[in-house]
Amino acid sequence: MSQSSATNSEDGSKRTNNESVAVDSVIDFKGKHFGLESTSEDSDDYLVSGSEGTMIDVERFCHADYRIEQYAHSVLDFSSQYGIDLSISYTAPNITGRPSKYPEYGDFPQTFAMRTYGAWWDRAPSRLKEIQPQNVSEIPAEDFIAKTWICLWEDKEFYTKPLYIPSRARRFTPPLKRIQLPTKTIRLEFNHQRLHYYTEIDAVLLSGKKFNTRNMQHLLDYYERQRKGSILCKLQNMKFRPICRDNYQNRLQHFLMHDLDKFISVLSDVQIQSIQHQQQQQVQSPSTDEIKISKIGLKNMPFEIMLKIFSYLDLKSLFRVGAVSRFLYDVSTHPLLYSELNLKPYWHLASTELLSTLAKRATILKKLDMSWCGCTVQTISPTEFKKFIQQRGDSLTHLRLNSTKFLNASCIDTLGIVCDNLKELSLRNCSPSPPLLNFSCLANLKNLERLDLFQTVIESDLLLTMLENNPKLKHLNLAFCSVAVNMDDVAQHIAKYNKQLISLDMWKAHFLSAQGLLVLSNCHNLEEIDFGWCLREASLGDSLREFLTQCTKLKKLFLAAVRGLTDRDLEYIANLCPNLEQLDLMGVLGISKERYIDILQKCAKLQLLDLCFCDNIMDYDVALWSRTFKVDIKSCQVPNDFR
Amino acid sequence: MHSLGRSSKLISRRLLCSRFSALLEAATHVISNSAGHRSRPYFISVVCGFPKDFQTSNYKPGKYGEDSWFKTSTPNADVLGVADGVGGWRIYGVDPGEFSSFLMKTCERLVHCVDFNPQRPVNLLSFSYCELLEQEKPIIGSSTACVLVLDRENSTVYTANLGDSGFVVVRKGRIFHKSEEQQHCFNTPFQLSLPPPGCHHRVLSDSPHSANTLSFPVLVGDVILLATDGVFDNIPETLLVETLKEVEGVTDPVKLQMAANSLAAIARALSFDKDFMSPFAINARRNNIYTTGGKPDDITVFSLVGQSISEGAVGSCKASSGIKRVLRAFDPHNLLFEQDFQYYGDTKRQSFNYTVYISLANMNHNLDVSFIPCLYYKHRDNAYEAKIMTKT
Repeated sequence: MSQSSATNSEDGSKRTNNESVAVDSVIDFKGKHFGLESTSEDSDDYLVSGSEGTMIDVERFCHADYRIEQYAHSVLDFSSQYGIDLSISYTAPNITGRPSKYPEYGDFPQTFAMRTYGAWWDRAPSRLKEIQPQNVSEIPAEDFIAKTWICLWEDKEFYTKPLYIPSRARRFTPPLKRIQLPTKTIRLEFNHQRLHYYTEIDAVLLSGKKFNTRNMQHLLDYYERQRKGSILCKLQNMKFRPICRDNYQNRLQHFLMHDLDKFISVLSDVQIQSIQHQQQQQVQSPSTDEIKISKIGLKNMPFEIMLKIFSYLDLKSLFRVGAVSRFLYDVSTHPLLYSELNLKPYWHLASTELLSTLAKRATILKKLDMSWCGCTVQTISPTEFKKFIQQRGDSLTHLRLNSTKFLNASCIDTLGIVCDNLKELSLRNCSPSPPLLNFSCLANLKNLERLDLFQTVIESDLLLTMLENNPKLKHLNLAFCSVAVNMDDVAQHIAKYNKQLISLDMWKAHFLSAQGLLVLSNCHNLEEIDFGWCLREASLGDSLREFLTQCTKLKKLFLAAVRGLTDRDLEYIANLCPNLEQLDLMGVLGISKERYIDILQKCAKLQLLDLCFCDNIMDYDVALWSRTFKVDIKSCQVPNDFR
Repeated sequence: MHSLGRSSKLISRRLLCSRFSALLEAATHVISNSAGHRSRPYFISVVCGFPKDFQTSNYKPGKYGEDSWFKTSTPNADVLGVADGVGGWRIYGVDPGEFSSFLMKTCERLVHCVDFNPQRPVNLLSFSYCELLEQEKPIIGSSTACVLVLDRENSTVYTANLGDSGFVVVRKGRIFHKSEEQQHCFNTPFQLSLPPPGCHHRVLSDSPHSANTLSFPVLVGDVILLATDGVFDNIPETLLVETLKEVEGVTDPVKLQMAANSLAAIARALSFDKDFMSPFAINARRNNIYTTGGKPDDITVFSLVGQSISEGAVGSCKASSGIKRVLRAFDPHNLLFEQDFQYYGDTKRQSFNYTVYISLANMNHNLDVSFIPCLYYKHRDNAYEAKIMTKT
């Protein structure tokens, strides 16, 4: 029995369709034990849970004497965090160790918060369309021998169950699936779709039984036997044993060739009869035509219809259905089915072999999403990826490589050279450990409409060249982009070359000043802008007014922690943004109440207003306003006593 | 010293009427447990202090009024710091202690980060200051700060000092090193600050990189006093040295704690003495301000003695001698009071790290502040009962 509890965390753990809200983090529990005075010093403690089911061998090896509790030792990888990389506030490493703040409730920089909440980002103009929509949701655990991931828990009723979030710190303890394997790495996936506001996670505790390392060798041997290959493994586990006679192969062939059709028709006759039974009152005598029709099976369908049917299948089902018969294999390997590929739900299965198989089938590949693939274990080699891109990359229009760890400089080079038709390139959180990735070949791309460099280190010059080369750019995400980039220069380039820009995210991108804001007013098409934590100056002067006068289409305006905002600026927002739907004014001080009311009155389309940490506002004001204006107003009442 | 006696009565009375859960933090004794048999330096460190006004400030660990302090250690370094929040923010409706407290707390967390460099305490200050900018809840205020790091690798102390807090190193009865005060003008120290919107031009703000840095090798037996301006403004240097040279080379944290206590008490007493010609008053006169008497302020005193241990049997012997120490500390002074002990074991690191908070809330006799015994540390496995009584 093992349990994982994320203290102070949200009870929603399901992968979502949208990248902007799906966040994962991989946490490593190294062999450090805190709750127990242990006798063994150096050896790692692997977590083992008692098993129920088939593999009884394991139980014999496990010592089930006492439970062990482990706090996370390190964070191996994560896809989103609220704080910037160099900081220690709201960043992922805060999840390690004992809880520092639980059971206190409030906003604490000592915890791990993620970038988004709720469905607000999906309603913004910059929302993404899913490539090949599929759904998988899991908390897999890494088994250290076989290097596969096992889902420990998933929330199946996520969208159906009523959500009640009390205003206090919570322990979230999902009932985990029992696994036989010792583990020390877990991966948490969070679905933010139904979150009310930012949720902070303090610590992750994994508890289970201590695994006796002396018996490790037995276990290793056991799993070595298991690993011999999936088919052999399956056969070993299968209870069915065919009775082997002399020419059984011929018999099988004979059955397949002659009897299968009969078998199917008999089956369909039975169905027909049952239907007839139902319809007996209405139709007395079944016509022969009906029976004829009933004999048409899946096999007799036109190829196009089969394709259409198969296009609703997800990747896993496609591969499985291909194993049924030659005909179905032919259909299931048709290139049209593979024009869009989303490997993100299968990140734990993505391997070099899968890539080479897909390379054969996906000859007209247009959209590819390989986010999270090969994230902790190197299952995809850079050379194989390069080969894949060289073979299939020339027609590619959409490419998402978020949080992939196998990318190296030559991969990016190949991307830049081969994929010159790219319209969308997403390289979120893509900085490998040698931080300076040679992105220079990306300057070849000329047709980009969406560029996402969230949390990716990029050189200033290259970014400027890319902006210059891609005049059609519509969506640009530079949130958390490296500190070295001077955002004022970027703003100037955008104003000069990318006038069609619709959305721009500069969240926590430092060094954007009021001057940059002023220049950006040349992009009249802007609908979404995120200046959170930028504009650190004391006062914005007239730049915000200028910007708002020019960009009248604004739907989303995020000015979180722009501390220089004044009453005057808020007046401009109220008067100049009739289309505003989302407004974030978190942590803005010294604004009078009338200005907020002004905004609520004049921005009729407003749906979201974030007023956390703003002073001069009382609880009952917020309650009253959200009732009268039908606006979702966020205001966190943090106890004064912060420390 | 009769003024001291008078004011110590005052303090005791204040202790009685105030609702502090604790006043004194006893020594944190950290023994490095990293591998290797060579001797490694460490600090015996104790802290003591008083808020200026007991009525307005709530007690929190790591804070005396607007002063804040932290001490922590890693296998490679002992790190200590004090910060003095600038009280002027109170008129803006801002708690001046919040800024300094956050600064110190963040420093403490930063020390445990992977890329902590013991030789660059300025980075500690500047990163900590940057963290302030990253807070969702705007923290407003300003503060002076002094951070002191002992690098165990080369037995060298690295310091960064911004403003008028500071440190004094006493070796062989003489001042060996002393930090410099950084002031814009009289009584206006350098400070890190985050002003509220709209008054940037009126607020002094210094970069963390303008901090004075100093590094010097430390020997076994050296005494270092790390304190806020409440101490340096009120106690003349000669008196400081006299008190500090008493504890040169002591290995008993109790003695050190008593020295720290008496320094804090002296500073407190002198700061309320209207006739005393304090260093603050002397400085004021130099700046053509006629004044006498001390400068009432929050007081934080850190006393450190450099020690070194060879790896091996130290851990167990320290742990077992805990109770004896406590009893010895109590007996001679014939005190009568109950204390609530709370043990805060830090199991994150596998070193011995004990902090004991003593509550003086139940105290029902006047006592001489300079004799408050305060060090009780004990390994948590054989932790003894929470109440200790001694009799007259």
